[in-house]
Amino acid sequence: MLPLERRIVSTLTTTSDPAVRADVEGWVERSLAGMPDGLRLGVLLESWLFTLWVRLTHPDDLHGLLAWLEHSPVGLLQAYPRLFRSLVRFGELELEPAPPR
Amino acid sequence: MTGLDTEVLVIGSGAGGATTARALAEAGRTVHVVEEGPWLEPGEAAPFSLAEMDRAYRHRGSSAAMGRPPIAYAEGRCVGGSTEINSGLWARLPRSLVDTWRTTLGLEDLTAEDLGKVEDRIESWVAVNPLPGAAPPSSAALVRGADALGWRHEEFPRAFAYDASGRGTKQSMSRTLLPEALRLGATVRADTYVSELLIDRGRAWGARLRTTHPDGVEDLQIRAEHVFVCGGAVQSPALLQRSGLRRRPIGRGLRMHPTLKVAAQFPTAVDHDEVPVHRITEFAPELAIGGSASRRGQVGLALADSGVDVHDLGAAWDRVFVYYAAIKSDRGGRVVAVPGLRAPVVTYPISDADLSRLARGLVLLGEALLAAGAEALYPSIEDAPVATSVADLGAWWDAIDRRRASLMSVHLTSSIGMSHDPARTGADAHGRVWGIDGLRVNDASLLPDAPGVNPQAGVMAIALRNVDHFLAQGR
Repeated sequence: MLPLERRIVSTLTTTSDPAVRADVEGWVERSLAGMPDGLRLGVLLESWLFTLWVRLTHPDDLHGLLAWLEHSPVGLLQAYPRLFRSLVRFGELELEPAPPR
Repeated sequence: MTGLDTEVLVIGSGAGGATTARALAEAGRTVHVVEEGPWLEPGEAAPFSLAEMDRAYRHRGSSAAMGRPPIAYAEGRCVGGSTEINSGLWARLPRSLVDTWRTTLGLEDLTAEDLGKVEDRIESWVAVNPLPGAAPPSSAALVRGADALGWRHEEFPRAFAYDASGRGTKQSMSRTLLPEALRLGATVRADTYVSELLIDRGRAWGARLRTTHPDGVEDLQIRAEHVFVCGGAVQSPALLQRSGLRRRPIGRGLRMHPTLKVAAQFPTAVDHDEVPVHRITEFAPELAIGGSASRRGQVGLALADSGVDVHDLGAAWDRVFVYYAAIKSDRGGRVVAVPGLRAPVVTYPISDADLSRLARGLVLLGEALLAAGAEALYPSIEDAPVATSVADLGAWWDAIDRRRASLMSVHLTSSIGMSHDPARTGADAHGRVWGIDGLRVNDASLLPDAPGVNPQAGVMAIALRNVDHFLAQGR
């Protein structure tokens, strides 16, 4: 997982529990590594481009970038934050203790 | 490189591969099964959980067909294949569909009577039962909604065995046909990737493989008199293509059931451990309405497109369940093995008519869930309005577009096909790959079309029919 991808996962993870945060990061890392290699190459390419953009613009946090991408009319750009959001959300909900029923 | 010899090599251990192996072993053939994924202890991970995705799903569940919109899909990658991760719902192939296949594809011996006989045999191998006792709330909601609207509904049996207390155990291939195949003398080699088939002068004579052991890898070459490729609708055409068989029908015509979901919030708690056994069949086979896996993770994902964080629901998340509308789509997708990439590239086009069908399905699903007493409906369409009344559903028609819809699917079929015409399909009427002696395909990729129902029973029936034909030929 690239440093920017790790930052995105950290940004999207809502729990403050460090153990759950680490587990979520591990899950996302395994998921990205396990993706079909063609799809993973595409995600890596986007991550490199956005890394460059972040280095040039020094945003305070990544929420702005993710929101902008999510509302992009370009399908490939839109899919990027959705992928990370889905992985983080699913991982977090599965890995954190469920509230009592 | 290690060399092995066998009479029959079966590549893949899911519904098609396990059926092939069990039937051939019973007939006294020497059978060697290879499976890319690991042997897992049945039941070691909760169904549809992250742990199960980690261990038993191909790509840990991160597979997607490219297109506008992309379609996320799931496949098993373990001994037993997708039967280890599916719901176990059991539906014989619709007879109207079988009639169409027979008449349009020249499948003369694919008769309802003969198919019924192989289905009976399979169901004697795999326990297929209705749910004992009353339906759980998630399933009962579909019945209630359909009844209120005067729509047909049906309970589907499952490949489940039940104990005296009513506790069910899914009869996946690792619990049923594979142990029986082993008992009958077959061998199963897990953690083994087949890089290519060995084909010489129009005859398949084995495969080149790599087994991953805890302490390293082992490269092997297996010689076989007969090779059955049973890797499923994505992996089978990809293996044929990697082996130089790039004839046009191979990898074309992939079918799936594009699906949209709705998270429904009810006034009282619903169950979350099982997939509903009831379906609304009023619009079948073009449109299927049913319930999905609804663990906390899946509920959270289903709510996400509406901008709702499941954490905000607190304990009320327990009242939310995920339902779906699945369609039969217009056009087929493609599977392409790209040199240099291990995973094939999968594409799937969604037509405007498909989008319209999905919108209709979503609205009908919404009507049924509201009729069943749901208080709020959250569709899997980005920023689509939450519906609390039938009047709200009209807005969903306009909300569905290629940018906003989150599509998924689980039933992948038809990427090779079978017919009497080599120009139309990659295999003949009994799964023999055109032009290559000793090579057969025997899995979901043979089905001529998406069946509109869970395909496992149909895949197993076609596979057993083809093995019967193979044995009758005295091969």
